Amino acid sequence: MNTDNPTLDRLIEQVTEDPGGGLTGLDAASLDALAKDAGATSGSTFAEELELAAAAAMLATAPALSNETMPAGLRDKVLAQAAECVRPSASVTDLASRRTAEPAAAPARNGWVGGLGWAAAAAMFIALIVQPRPETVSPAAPVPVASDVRDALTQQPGTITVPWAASEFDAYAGVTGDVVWNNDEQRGYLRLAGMPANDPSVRQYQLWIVDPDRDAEPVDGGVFDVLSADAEVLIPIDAKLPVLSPAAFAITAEQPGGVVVSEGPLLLVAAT
Amino acid sequence: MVNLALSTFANSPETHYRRSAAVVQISDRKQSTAARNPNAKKGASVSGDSGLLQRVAAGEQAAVAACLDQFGGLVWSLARRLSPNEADAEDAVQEIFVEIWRFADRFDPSKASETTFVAMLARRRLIDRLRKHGRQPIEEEYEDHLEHAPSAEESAGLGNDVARVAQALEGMKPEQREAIRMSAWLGMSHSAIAEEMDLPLGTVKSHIRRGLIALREDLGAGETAQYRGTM
Repeated sequence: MNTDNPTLDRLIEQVTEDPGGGLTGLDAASLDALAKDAGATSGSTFAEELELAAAAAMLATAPALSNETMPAGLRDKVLAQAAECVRPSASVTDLASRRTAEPAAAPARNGWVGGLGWAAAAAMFIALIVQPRPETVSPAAPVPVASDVRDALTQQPGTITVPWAASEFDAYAGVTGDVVWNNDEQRGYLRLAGMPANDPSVRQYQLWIVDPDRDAEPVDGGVFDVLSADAEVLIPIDAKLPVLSPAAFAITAEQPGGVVVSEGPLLLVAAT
Repeated sequence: MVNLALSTFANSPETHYRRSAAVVQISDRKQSTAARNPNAKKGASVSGDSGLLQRVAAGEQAAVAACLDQFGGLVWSLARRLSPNEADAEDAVQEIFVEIWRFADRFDPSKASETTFVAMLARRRLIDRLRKHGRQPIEEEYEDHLEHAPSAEESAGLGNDVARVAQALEGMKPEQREAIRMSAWLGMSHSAIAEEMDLPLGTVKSHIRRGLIALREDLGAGETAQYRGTM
């Protein structure tokens, strides 16, 4: 084993210094070869195993951790959030039928988003749906019960709330909700009602933050799952890089774990 | 008791990490912790796991409350120690549990205990928050740290896999052990660790790289790996 393997160095840096950042800047083939040498089934598995080792080392070296009790008020908030996140799993047939109704994200990659640039792609998306389609917005969507965390964030100065534009894809045309983002806090939440469920083993949703002031490429906002289309979900935004001035938020469907560069399509867009 | 939460962070790169001499003493004390744990044996099953995460992943609401009972104190403790104040710690805890609910289905009992899996999600989120907010953790005085060092019972209570890792850390050189501790627990960058320990950056990177790969094996992954002894 080459001890000066740059991929291994980068992976260790990623796991220890920025574990939430994903496997960015790593060559997939080199990473998989590294994982194979290490007896791991894939690069992402190898990374997670190293991250688990770091977590165990944290527990083994941290000051006493197990003798504290979470404040009761906080516990209540966490439980309330759980009610929004934890839902009985949809049946396989249910998921399968939904998938067939959704745009085939992975196989249909044609690179058009990458070719035009994200800002332009988002602008095109907005132009395509300039005529509102009220008939596709679900009138029966339940009144959302937003979490205390999101509510508190919306009350903070500088917080923006941006609604999702109606999607051009039928499966997503009825999705409602918004994006709440506070640039000072670098925090935000997605609110999605009527979002088709995904099978995390097949693909995951990924959020992108279009920030032309920062870069032509969008900022990875993290991957997430929707377990049930019947429930409104609240997803914390996990921006991998500091956001300067978000122009739009977009959701794609990607391979499990997400991608570094997406080829779209943009399933949903919220433009500021 | 010292309230760590109120004095854990600084807003500038100026840090107050302990120097290596104190590190050695801490590490030496910690040697006795896992060494007394009779369950710290590679390959032993992880105690205390009850399939909670799998039940959460299946959408069982009762498991949510049980999961909160099981891991709430641990997550809260971690958040308090790695957040600048209580309000920030509360935000962090909520974000961590959202991650736990979301990723419960990815827990693999063959790789780590539920406790370690939860700690991984917590660590990920807490370091991410540190990084975004541009804050650098500072450590309490050496004596305070000793005061808060985990007892043998507490270490064993975190699971056999953690005990195995603790035991593996004992076998490392104090310098390597401390580099891993600063990286894993305090979330320090490699360059900050090099500066604090007055070591070349390459040495720190090597310590952490070799150490983490060894700990991964002690955790149970990569049994056939050939890293140990060759890196």
